[in-house]
Amino acid sequence: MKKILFALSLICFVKIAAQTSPATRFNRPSMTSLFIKSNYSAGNRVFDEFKNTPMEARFDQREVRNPNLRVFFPSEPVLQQTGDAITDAKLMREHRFAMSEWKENCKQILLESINPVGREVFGNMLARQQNGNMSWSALMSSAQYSATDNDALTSGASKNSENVYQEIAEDLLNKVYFVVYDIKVIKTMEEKYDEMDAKGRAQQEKANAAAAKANPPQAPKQYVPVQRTDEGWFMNYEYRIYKLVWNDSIMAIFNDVWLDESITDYRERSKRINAFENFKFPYVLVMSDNNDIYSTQEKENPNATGAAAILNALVVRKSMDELLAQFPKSMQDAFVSKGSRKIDDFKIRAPLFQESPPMVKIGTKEGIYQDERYFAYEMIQDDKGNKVKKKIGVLRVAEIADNSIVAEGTSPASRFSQQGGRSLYNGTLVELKHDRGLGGSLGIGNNPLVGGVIVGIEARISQFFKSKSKKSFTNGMYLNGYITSGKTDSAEFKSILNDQFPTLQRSVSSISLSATIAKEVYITKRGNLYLLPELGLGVSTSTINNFFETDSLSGCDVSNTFIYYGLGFGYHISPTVSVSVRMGVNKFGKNPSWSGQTEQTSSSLNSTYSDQELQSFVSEDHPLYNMNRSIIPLSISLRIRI
Amino acid sequence: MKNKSTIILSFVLLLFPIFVAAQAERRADREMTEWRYEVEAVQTGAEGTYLVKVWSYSKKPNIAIEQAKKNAVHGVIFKGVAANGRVPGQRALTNNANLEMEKQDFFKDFFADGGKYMKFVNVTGDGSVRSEDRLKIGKEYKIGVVVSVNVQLLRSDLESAGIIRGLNSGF
Repeated sequence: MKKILFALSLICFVKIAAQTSPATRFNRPSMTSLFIKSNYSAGNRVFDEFKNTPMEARFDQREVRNPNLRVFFPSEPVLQQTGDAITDAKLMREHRFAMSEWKENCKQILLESINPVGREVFGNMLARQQNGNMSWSALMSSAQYSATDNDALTSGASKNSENVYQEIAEDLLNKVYFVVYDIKVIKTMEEKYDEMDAKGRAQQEKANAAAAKANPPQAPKQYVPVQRTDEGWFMNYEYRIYKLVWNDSIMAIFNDVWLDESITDYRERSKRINAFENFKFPYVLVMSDNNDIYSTQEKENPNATGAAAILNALVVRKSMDELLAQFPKSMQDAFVSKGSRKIDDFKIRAPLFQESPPMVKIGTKEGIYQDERYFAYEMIQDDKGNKVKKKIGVLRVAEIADNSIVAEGTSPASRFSQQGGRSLYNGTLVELKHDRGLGGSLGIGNNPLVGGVIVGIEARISQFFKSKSKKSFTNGMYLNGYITSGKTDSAEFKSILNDQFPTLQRSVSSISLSATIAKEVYITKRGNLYLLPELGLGVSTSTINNFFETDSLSGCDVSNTFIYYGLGFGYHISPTVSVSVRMGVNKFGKNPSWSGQTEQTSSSLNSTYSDQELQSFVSEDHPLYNMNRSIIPLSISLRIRI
Repeated sequence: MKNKSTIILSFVLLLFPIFVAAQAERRADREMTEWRYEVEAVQTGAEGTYLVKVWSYSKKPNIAIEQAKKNAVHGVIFKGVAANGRVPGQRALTNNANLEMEKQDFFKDFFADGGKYMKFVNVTGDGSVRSEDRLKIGKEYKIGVVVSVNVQLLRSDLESAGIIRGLNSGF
């Protein structure tokens, strides 16, 4: 019987899953921030500051009278240990059971405390008055604000114009979310440093004790305290996102709770008022996370000189309270960013309104920011009638339209730029797909001084600012870091030394570090091809191995700094992978530093050979001879972004 | 050599009728598919109008809006409108299955590009197709466009042209 039931439920599940089609529209979910009263006064100060931190525009922020939840969790079960293996194993099992029970208890306690808030939010959405009467008016206003131009025009052409908005309003009731913050630890950076030092010292003492017992015993090492460079705050917090469950069965029960002016019987009214005040909505935990965050600034250095002193004077210093007040924004950004990846209702989506340039009717109302990433999908119906979406391109926000109005048919659209993929057309689904703004590259270059294997990391600059201004010059800009390492065989570097020295056994290896700023400029409609102007600074060291075969000098290093400016040309193989060819100029400094070492003494030979003398051994044809000249290297890289 | 040419010529002559027949069939298919569409109700339209979504089929993702308008008017006259959830369907303006053939000349002009049909239909929307209304099925696209058809005007126009009988003309 159980097997039959299981099979039936499986069939039902598969059928239901098969019938679901991907969401194609975005209706603004409602969001309420709640706080579990903190044991730290600084924590409660952070919660107070949320009042001054507006919710991300894509959410319909719902305020409640008291967002601070007074939750008293039972104390966590402690694992007892006796030293006896059998007893300990039994205690361990008991502890595991106690822990799961404790977690379930805590969950229930928390849900109990959310329930009145959930009722209040729901009551607000239904414009519940003091006499208990409810109406759709407030919810219809939210629905109108959430509606698109197409909805507004369809509504205008309908006999019952409210029908369109009513469908949206019903959907909004199914998008009621609560984010509950719980600060676990909050401390000043001084306290954090103390903690780090205490931990470090304990570890060092443990290591020293082990070293003393070793054979032969090793000398104890002194713990080096962490450098206390910053001031401000450290915080560890947890957040949980709950969704109020609204479905047909809840709706059916809620019908007996609904009260409006049409119900005049006193007994019936008081029955329904009571029913509402005791109504328990079910909730589902949709996401939770635990984060460590810092709000710090570098400590003021009164003894700073030169550039550091100028920088000190220019930077506006913040008080500890101001630093504390920065936390709410970071906390909110964290849940919005992660939630946008995990929770379907949080994903902004709309059809492409115009093909070239790509325009989509989303903007300030949805809280989009410059350079934010969106995927373009084509809707496909398969042989079984299932609707699925297939990714066909990537778009990024280029110009934000102010559409924070009730749509009437002529809302402005934001401009996007396509970054790879196929041709898009009117109606293509455009959906938010947050990226981390990070990437890496692996390539190879032919630069004789800073060539070889190139490993790069990149960060999209717009991710740091998340600008919501109409336009932004940081769009498509990347901060890159490269490490390049190469070794050239002796045959290719025959010319490296003058004829007077045998050269066949020599090789040159080089390593360089550089940092650049680059901007992607899309040159085609579909954005598959891009130009990549780049500017940066670097430092390189080239080592000539076996400098003299007959002498004690085993190697010679030539170090120099360089400025890099160049132009790359890239092609998007897929939304996250592209291949690029970079061509640029490495302009080296005028005074490279030459140094060599003897095998015997390992001391610098600069006392024996001057820079000029070392340089004179190198052929004039070789770039090492005169490093200040420009070199035009070529490199090819594979870039991957996440 | 002469034999070879004779064989090739015979082969071509043999295949030619098959090729012509296939072409004709393809053309016929194409003509048939001109009216390949589905019409469903979206909402109850304002006074005297039907608010319908017309699903048209096309090899290209960018179907002409004009074709959707044409299909909608054609659907209202000959097919009727399918119900959609809470919104009831509508019967066709004619129940004469042969009307289109009988009045071929009239409807040829009526549905010509820029023809009279345009008087009775308007696209309801901002010009964008909803994402869920553009589906790729196999190698073709099924595209839904919401339009408003002025049925009152359409009916009286067809009645005055003697194409359909008036509601008060009796049986």
